[in-house]
Amino acid sequence: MFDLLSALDFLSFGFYPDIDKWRLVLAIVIIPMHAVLTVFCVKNRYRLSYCLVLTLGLQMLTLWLSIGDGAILRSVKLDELSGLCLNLLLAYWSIPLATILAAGICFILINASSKSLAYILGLFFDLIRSLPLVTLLFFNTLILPMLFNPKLIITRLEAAWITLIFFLCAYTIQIFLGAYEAISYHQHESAKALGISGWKKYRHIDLPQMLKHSLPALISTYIGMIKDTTLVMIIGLADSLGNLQLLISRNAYKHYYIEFFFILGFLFWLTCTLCGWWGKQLERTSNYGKT
Amino acid sequence: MAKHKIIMNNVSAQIADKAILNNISLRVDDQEHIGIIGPSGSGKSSLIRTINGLLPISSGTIEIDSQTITASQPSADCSKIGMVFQDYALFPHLTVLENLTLSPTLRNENSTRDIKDRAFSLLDKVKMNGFGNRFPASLSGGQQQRIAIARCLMTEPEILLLDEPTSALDPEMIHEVKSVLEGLMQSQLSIIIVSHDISFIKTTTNRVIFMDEGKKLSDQATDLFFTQPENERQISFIQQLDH
Repeated sequence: MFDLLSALDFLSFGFYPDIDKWRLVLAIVIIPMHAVLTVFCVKNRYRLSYCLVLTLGLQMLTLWLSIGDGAILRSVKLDELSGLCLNLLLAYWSIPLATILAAGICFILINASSKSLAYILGLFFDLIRSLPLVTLLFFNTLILPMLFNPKLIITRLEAAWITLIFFLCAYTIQIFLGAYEAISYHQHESAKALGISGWKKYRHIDLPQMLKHSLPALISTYIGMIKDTTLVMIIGLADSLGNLQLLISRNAYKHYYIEFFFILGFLFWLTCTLCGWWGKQLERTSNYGKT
Repeated sequence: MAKHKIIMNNVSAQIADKAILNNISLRVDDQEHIGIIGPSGSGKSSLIRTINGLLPISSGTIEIDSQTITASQPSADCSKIGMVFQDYALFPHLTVLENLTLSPTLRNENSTRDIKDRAFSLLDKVKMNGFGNRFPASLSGGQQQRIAIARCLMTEPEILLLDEPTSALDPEMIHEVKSVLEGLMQSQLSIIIVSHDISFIKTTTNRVIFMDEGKKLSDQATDLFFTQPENERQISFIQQLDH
């Protein structure tokens, strides 16, 4: 008979040292806390800059907890981070950063006085959007270091992380541009008549409305991203799916592979459903003045 | 002699190669109230939109105080010009108070305290006291339009452009907005109002400009406009009003 608990432990944490597992658990717990805090910020209409500082702060904290080292924490090898935690953390590290990057790039695309800069950025992100994620993962892990600097060592985790950020960013830019179109043309005119333009207009008038308009599409892209993190298995990172295959290759577990696939499927369903529910809460709380 | 506030010389404008305004010349004096009437699509709104730079002109010049707007040199500073739109155009994600204070705050004109005080006194002026923390979506059309009027007064404009301020409203709301506008007419502002509400034009303006197909067809004192029309098109327009 096999030990279900140790199997689930392996699916979730992989080869992460037992003594340090509390760090991963803490990092994972921060994710829903961050989600709740975001709803709280939206509900109380805190400034976007506060949300930005909160997001970046929590990202750094989870990074430090899971793979950081130093005086307080024992050093952990990057490859030891695996399992479902790797999927969740990769999604968590890429989603907010990709969204912030996309918001910044949209400002350039909408307001750029130099058309060539906007054109080059548009072309670059079109290229990323039109290539399969797997191709990009391979390219960034294997080919990019060869092209630029062979001595530059990008770990597979870092390569996957950067790829996911840019891939998600390419989609988010299009969602934001669509949301910008949804802002009524009279709003732009009245901003101009009030003498508000450039970054100030983008920050105070466009961006808050773009975020609101784009929520449904953003959330479904985020859910797609959570599922896409399983593709990092292709470049040799042991994510939950990789660990599952290792698990069912063992004699003790090999007859139960359907059950384990169901368990993993259930965990993904739960994560994605919670993300969707969070999106609904955000939509509800940002409906200012509408009952 | 009264000082000219706005001088338009042979102004033309076009949108996608279609001429919208055709050689319009116009003088607006200090504290003068001008009504612009004409059929839909005659270029009334376009005319006032050229004044605050929302519609670039293709030829001619517009002088506003010492500033000159030409085709190659669009408006740089529209802080002296306030504009009220037909559909209010309030920012839906900001409260009423934030809608009022956003522009002065971003320009760092005064201290936050002064800006807020001014916002409250303007809310009082448009009879919207106590609505500061509401969102536009929870207000009626008439209330939103009164907030929009207060918002454009926040920048202390010398010229006020009203683009069909009552067209989107029902009769009761029209009444509440008109009473606020009539209060404004007592102030020291130069006002240009585009409206289909002829009774309002008759009671509040000194001068009426009649436009059709992008051209200025007549420019008369308000009482003369309705009693001594200058041309055939104007006569047929006024006859339609009586029916």
